[in-house]
Amino acid sequence: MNGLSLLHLAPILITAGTAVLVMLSLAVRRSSLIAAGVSIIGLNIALIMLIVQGISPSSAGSASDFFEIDSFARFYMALVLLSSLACLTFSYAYFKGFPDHSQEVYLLLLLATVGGLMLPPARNLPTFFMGIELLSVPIYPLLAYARQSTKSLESGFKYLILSASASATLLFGMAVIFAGAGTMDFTALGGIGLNATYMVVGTALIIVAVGFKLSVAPFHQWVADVYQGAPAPIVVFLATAAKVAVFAVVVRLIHSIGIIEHGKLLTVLTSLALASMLIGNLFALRQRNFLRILALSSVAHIGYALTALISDPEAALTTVNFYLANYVLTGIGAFGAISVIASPYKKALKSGDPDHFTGLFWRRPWISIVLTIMFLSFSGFPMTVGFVAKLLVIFDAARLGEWLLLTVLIIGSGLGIYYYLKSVLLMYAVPKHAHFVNMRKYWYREIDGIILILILMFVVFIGIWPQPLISLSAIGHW
Amino acid sequence: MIQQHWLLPLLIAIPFIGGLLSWLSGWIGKRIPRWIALITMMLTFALAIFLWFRSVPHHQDPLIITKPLWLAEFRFSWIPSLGISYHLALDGISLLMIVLTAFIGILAVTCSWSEIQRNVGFFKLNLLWSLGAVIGVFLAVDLFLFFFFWELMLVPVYFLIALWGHDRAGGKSKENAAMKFFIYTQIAGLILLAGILLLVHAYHVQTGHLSFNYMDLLDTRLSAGAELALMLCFFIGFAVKLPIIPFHGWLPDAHAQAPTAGSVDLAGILIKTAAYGLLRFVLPFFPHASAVAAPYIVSLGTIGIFYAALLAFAQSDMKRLLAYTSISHMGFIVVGMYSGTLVSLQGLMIQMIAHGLTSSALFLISGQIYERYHTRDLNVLGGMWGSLRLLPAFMMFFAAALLGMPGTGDFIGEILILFGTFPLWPWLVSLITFSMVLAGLYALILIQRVLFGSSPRQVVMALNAREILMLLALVVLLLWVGLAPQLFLDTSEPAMRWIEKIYTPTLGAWS
Repeated sequence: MNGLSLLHLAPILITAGTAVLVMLSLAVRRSSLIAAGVSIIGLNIALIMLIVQGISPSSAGSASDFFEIDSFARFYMALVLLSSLACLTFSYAYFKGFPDHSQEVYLLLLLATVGGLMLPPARNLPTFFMGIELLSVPIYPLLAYARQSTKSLESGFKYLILSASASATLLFGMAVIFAGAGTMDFTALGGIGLNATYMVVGTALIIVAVGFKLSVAPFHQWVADVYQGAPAPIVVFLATAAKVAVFAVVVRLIHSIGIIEHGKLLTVLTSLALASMLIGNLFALRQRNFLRILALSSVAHIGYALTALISDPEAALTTVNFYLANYVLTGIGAFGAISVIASPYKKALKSGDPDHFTGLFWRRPWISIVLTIMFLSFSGFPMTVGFVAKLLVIFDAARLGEWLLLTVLIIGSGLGIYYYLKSVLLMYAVPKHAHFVNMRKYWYREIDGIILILILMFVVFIGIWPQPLISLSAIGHW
Repeated sequence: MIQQHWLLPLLIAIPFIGGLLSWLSGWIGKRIPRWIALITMMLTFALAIFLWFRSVPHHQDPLIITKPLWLAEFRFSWIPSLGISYHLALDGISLLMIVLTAFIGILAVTCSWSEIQRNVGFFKLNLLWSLGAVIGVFLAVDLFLFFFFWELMLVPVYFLIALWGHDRAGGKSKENAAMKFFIYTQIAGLILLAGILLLVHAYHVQTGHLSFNYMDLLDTRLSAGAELALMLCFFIGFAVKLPIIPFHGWLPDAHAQAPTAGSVDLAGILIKTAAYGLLRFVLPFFPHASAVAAPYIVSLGTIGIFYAALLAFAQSDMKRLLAYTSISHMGFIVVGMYSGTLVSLQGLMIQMIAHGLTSSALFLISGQIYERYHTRDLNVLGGMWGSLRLLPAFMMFFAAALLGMPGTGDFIGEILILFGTFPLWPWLVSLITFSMVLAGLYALILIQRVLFGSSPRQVVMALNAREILMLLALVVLLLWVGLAPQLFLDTSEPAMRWIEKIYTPTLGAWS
């Protein structure tokens, strides 16, 4: 690796370096402000380096056998960094009232971010595995961080067991492929294609494992419980960065190996998409806790993203990129709003409980508006970024003649409108009884509130004028 | 080169900004939002009138009309990669509807002056935003933009009903009525969206060019089956809002439980947007499918006229009675629209205006009665004749207008529709003429139950100046439309000529 390649790897290196710095700072003096401050500054530097490289013309090029930092990778690394920054900001406000040391949160988040940053540029199986492990393992203690609450412990435990099983499956699939093919590089595997049995078996195992991580139906059972029990800001990271990073490497893998052309595996992918859209929306109908609703709807959104992927055999990827960018933005907004409402940490950990939201508009109008717009964006209401994203997916699917996917997408969206609106309207109802713990009044003066309002402006602004983001998404391919 | 007419986006923007200011000032007190809302709507009305005077209609040679000619246009490129632009355009139909919207907006704001006491600012925001979105619906000629305003129209009305409505004694709550309204219209909106997207897709397949623009999509050539399917999608989307039997289930509940301003808004304007949608989109895009379906749709309309009239007669809640009369009058509009002759189309236009004015007036009156007696039950009310300075007189006038008394605008509308339809479907027109008897029935039963009979116990306030002024303005306008409608007819004539030219219905079984 020469000096130029190190520059390409800079975001990953800077993030890792920041993690080390935070560790050192903890040794010197335990202060949330210092730890959070160092983390945020470090991540911002990484993001700036990423953007600068993206703009400058002499930027594309593989850094090594392990990474390929092209514009596709940069797009998703930027999304991961944005999500991580948001999560850190929300965590800072959330863990203010935490009865124990909370500085490790920043450390663990940074480590998870490094993992997430490793995934989009990954170009062989070991990097893929390393990235997923580095992404998932720090999340286990993060989910269980509020250990005074059994729900948090339960959330962490559930995710640990399922994620570890998924990682084992992933490893097995990779082993099968390596045993048969003798190589781990995506491009080389693409040369072999999917004709050999070992390739199909290995790929199927990998799809199963990735399905768990992405909470694709029928591997989605864990989402509702995990999202409900975890500390709210961690869910921001889990729901957005963790999913998007894995999705990115999966896109690369799918297009390298050529799953889209393979009949049977394409059927598998289509079935997963259909199942996710249907099951995610149907099960969300029955939920009342806001976090559970969002968890199951995120299953549906991954289904929509898979539809976009399937409708894009030439790997132009504009729609997929735009849809995932929309998902990250709106996800940060929605989960972040719930996090802001739940901040600072209270012992009775009941974030997402509908009693907190009933009639919220009459007590705290502005945060209700934020959450309303985020929900509307998720449901695909016009003038939000979610609508434009869905429209792009619909057009792509129609162009390819994928009528089954299209019908299920529209049915799913229709169902989605019902439960999203039910939740939104709950906030405007006149509360019949007062079972809530009222949130702080001046949330918009604190850092997490400011970031939330920023996200809101992006969601609305991009919804009204999506052309720049569409153009940006069009650049993100290899 | 399109001459950018900045007045058009201004017409939409003013209610939105006014609504926002109302809400924000609502935290200061109760009085300021009311005045801000009133000034906003008066400004909008003034601008609409100004636009009306300034617009010079093109006199089109009927032989060479191929596309509609707009009186004013405004275009702004928005999402080029999807072919979406912020394109507003005005012709005679939309001009008249916008003037009507602005006027009814003034009425709605004025009538809720004292009725609404809680969260006045937020109420005015919802009201004004709904009106702004309606103006957007009338102006949008980009289908994406149209759909956006269409959806936006409904959300504030939901809040108006759910938060400031009246509960039904011993029955379902106002939230249920609001939710019913919302679900009906949302599902219809989804079907409409499916139709829009399929139409855009068909155009894209045909020309390789992605566009949501009205003028482009008029060129789409569709096979008979595809045209019928798409027409049905659009039609159902609009039919639910009109409403056409059997999609009318939401209207009586919504009216019964809405606050007065909500009802005025709903009956006066919102249901007219559906008629406008049919005129603007269904007939021009799918003339052949509409022609084939015309006999059936007209039958549905006729059934609606009779069924709703009979149900109106049977109601004991005053507002539900008026709601059913609205459905009945909309049946006339369906008949007028699908017969497609110039006379009936012009009649349809007058009917829309006149019905907007008449039903607004009657809902205003019912609101005033409710404010005084706290009941709308016809069995309980009665004997108002002689008390309540001027209210009985106004009520009698508007009830006469409701049944189509000559001299009022309703008469002109109904007669023109019937005259225009007769050459095509004489049997149908003969049948519908009998519905005038039913109209007389429900109007008279309304008067009889409310104004005559035994008098109620309490002594209540007479009408104050604000209320008299509103009703007087409506009387004057209704008489103007009824006695001298030529001004209105001239404005909408070019647009109606174009529709007449492109759409000729199949005669079917009724001729």
